Amino acid sequence: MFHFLVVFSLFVFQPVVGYSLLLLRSGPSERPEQESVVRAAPHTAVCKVQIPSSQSHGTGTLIAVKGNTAFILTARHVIQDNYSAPEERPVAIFSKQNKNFMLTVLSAFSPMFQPLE
Amino acid sequence: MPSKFNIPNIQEPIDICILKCYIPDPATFSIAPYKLNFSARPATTVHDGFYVGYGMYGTNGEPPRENDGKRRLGNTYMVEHRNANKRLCRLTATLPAASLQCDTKPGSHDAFTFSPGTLTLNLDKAQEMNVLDKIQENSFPPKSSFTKVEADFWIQKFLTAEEGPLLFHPVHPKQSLVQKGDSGSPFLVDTEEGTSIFGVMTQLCPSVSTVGYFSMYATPIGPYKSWILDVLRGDISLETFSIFYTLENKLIFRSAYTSFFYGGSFVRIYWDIGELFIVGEKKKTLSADFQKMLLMEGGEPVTAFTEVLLLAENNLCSGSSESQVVKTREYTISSYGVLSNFYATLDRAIEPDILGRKFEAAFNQFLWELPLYSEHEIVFAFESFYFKFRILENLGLQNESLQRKVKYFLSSLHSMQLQSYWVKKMME
Repeated sequence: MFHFLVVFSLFVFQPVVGYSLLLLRSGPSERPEQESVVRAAPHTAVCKVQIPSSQSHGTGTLIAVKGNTAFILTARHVIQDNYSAPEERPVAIFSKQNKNFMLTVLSAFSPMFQPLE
Repeated sequence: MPSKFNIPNIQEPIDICILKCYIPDPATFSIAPYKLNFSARPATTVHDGFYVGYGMYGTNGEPPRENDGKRRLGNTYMVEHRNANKRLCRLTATLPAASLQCDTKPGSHDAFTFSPGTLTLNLDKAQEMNVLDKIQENSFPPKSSFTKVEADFWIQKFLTAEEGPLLFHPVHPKQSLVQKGDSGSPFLVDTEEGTSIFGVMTQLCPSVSTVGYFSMYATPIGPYKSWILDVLRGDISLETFSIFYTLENKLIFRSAYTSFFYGGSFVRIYWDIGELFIVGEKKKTLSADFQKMLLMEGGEPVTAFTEVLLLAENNLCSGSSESQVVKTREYTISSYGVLSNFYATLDRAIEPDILGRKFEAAFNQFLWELPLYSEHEIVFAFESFYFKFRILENLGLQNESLQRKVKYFLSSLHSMQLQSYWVKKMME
């Protein structure tokens, strides 16, 4: 009876196990769509760049920390699009462990020219 | 407030930016930065790009509305165009930016020419085109394969450096598209060495705009490697458009450099908050007097920049011959127009009368402290004030009280027989 159950189980569940193994071996593009994982927030080094009085915002990437200074790479238009109402300076908001850390922007730099090839 | 002066056209900077932020307590704010990889992979070989951003879905974790997945950065326009075969093509364009995307037929966007902020149609083909109404959220799915990735992928790649297969999940197509708020996101590609930051999600992308519509949303940072490293080192090059925020949270848009004619050649000066440099054959930090003056001004860029102009000039003049001094000063006088433009730029952000009041307060303090100064210091300081005075005069920001004080002091200098070339010049 026990052997029968073992053989029966293998017969019945083998496709399921095989499909599961197939999924594990397959690349990301073969994963079924319903398995997609969407996280609530990007990486902790990626921050939200926002001018408090503005509803629009952008995204930045922390690329260096030196003492009390952090350097964040972003797009210029993220902050310049809002400079028509320059009452407030932009801030960089980092989310870490469900807490928000807000950094004050002191200055911003953009290259004026494209580098020569 | 409208400016009273002609503001010179400032070349539009590249749409990437480095923000310098203040961390009050680095110990409590310990987030490891991205490992910056400057892989300058040609845009033509990029088939898939990944990015992480705070656009739409990433903000609250909520799935976006259906139409959000089809939204472009900025305002999206749709243009109908009949090509040479009279086939109807539909193109979408994102404005205001030099970006254009062809949904129907990649490569057919040669009917357009690009210029920042405008979309220009070729005249010979304009008759064949019918620009439809502006559509904020049109129904055209984009061709690009930008894909948002989850945080674990980057944690694995950058923080733990764990080897293994690529462990990310493609997000739902509706959630994988560029959306508002994603601007500035790191744009990454998977390379043989691992995943690298390839660029920044931008609007303007002149370097790759001719390659293909796919790359129009990202500016590769590889070509800007030396520039980025310079900024991280604190070396703000002359080719840098700088934005400073004053202690009063006012915004200033101005390149932080200027030029002086000295010794038969131009000397360039630029500054960062708390730091000031001369750029010549060999870059060097300016004297401590400059730093001191900046500190005296509270680090406020508005007045500090004026001091930079004036003090740099004085600094350059020291030890030089009289003729060089005169030549330098004359150049400065003739550069009032430049200064006026500088202040005209400022006056969009700062009320002009504040400048006048600041000047008057500083001048009053100078008068009170006059007995403490040596004769040389009096002449030196007053010359500095006088230049400011002329700037304010140029801007029409003087008041009668201030004018009386300055004239009175000029006569005092004359009576004290403290005469220099410029005191004489001022008395004329």
